[in-house]
Amino acid sequence: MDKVWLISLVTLKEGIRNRALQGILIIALFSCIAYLTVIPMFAFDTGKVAVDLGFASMTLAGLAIVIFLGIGLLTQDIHQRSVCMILSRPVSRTQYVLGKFLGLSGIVLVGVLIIALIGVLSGWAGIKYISEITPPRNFTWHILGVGIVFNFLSLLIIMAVAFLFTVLTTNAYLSMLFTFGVYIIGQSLETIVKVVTAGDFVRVGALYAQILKALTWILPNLRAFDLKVHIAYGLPLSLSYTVWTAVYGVFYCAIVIFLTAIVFRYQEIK
Amino acid sequence: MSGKKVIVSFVLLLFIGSGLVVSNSHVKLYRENIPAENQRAETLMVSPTLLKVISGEFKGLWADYLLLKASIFLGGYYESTPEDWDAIYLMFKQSLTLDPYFFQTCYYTQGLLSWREGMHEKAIELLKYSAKYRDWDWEPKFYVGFDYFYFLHDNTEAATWMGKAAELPNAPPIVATLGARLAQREGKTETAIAILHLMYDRAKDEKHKKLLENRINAHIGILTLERAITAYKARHGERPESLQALIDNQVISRMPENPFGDTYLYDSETGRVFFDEIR
Repeated sequence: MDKVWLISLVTLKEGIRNRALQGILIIALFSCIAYLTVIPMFAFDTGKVAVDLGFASMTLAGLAIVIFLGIGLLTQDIHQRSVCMILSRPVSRTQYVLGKFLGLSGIVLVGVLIIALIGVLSGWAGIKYISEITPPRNFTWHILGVGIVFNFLSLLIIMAVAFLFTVLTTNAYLSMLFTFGVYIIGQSLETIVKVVTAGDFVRVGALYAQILKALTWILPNLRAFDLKVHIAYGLPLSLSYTVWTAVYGVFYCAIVIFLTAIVFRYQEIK
Repeated sequence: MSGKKVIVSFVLLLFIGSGLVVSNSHVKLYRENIPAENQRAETLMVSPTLLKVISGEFKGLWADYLLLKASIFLGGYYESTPEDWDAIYLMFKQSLTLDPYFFQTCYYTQGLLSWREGMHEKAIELLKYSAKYRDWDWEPKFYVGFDYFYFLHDNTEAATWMGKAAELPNAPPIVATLGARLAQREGKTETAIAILHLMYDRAKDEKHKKLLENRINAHIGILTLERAITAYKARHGERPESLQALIDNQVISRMPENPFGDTYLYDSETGRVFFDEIR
């Protein structure tokens, strides 16, 4: 386990050296400006607009880290053979994958926390000094906290998928393309299945509908981690839903990383 | 850096800077003649359901953008075409499908869309959608009730929706009062004024406040004329041929001011008074 921590620490440092934090801070600064300029344009539910903007910044920063930094660092290791240097030591390929994943998770966590903190501070300043800005209805810190954790979990799922595609293709562009595709599908699949099942908007064959339903067991349901509506309108959030969704997220990450480790174990590094 | 290099850099910078200023002033000149983008309402003519599928987790942000776009057009328009209002309706529908909880969409639907001829049913459809999701809020239900009453003249549906609104906590007493008025089938213009007052109190944007104020004044003018027509009929046994007849027969001393036009419009067959061409 020490080796895994060591690799994750090195990856975290590498990410900081790659100026990931500067990028995150720029996004956070933009979101702060957006809070104080865009929100006063709305007359009602300004808290909801703040939640939309804050979480959009969080997701964009997280996706940028996962897609550009995560995939970039992994393919760089494989192509520049720096991975061979690590693997020539008593470090298994599984430990390498786990270490890299944990290190990048740390960078994503830092990014999410920085943006969340700036979002909360901007929101507080907005409520205090701009009369148009009001807190969301029935606002509670714990639902906001769960929302941030869920956003982080959904980014971890995307990162795990990115890892799998990177070791499968060993090509950064292909991996970025496939990962982004999974992100889009993960966000839309649930709605598509509901629309297809209802049959009001579009009618498809029973087989097609079954295939789509089967895909929901393979592809991640990222929509489940989206709690923006609950935070913005103070809608009730059941404990069982929260726990089961969190467990689903952790297990999905685990299985994808497990598959990544297996593929990487048999991967020939040229 | 030598002095020569500094001079060359300075000249080059001056040349590029001048080129930028000259070209930009020409671009500005050409673009001045292009109509402002807020003079016509435009939206992506795609189904709201499709928009929901492709918006992913940014559907809330997309709903905000659509509403902002609609309000920019509505805040600056002078003349509107039926196509503009079709686009506004689609924008509101898309925004509500993406975020059915967003009150601002509901508010704009009632404040602007429901008052347009041919849009009453569409506005009610959107408001019902909003009422379904905002189950804690009395306002969307109240708006549905008002629209059934005032625009569609369906008092039964109106009373039902007003009743649903009055049941919710925080519903002001006026909701129940209006519901009672509906049951009695009285005072339609007064009801409209009461509703407009309620919306005026909630409006935060100065432009919108002014628009509502004008609408309230126009309805007060209508109410004055309606009462005068009733008095004329009681005296002469028939409705007047024109609104001028009310002044000629000294029922009223002068025509009430119409914030939306020179004078009020009158249908002598039905006895109804309007403040603009849209009836």
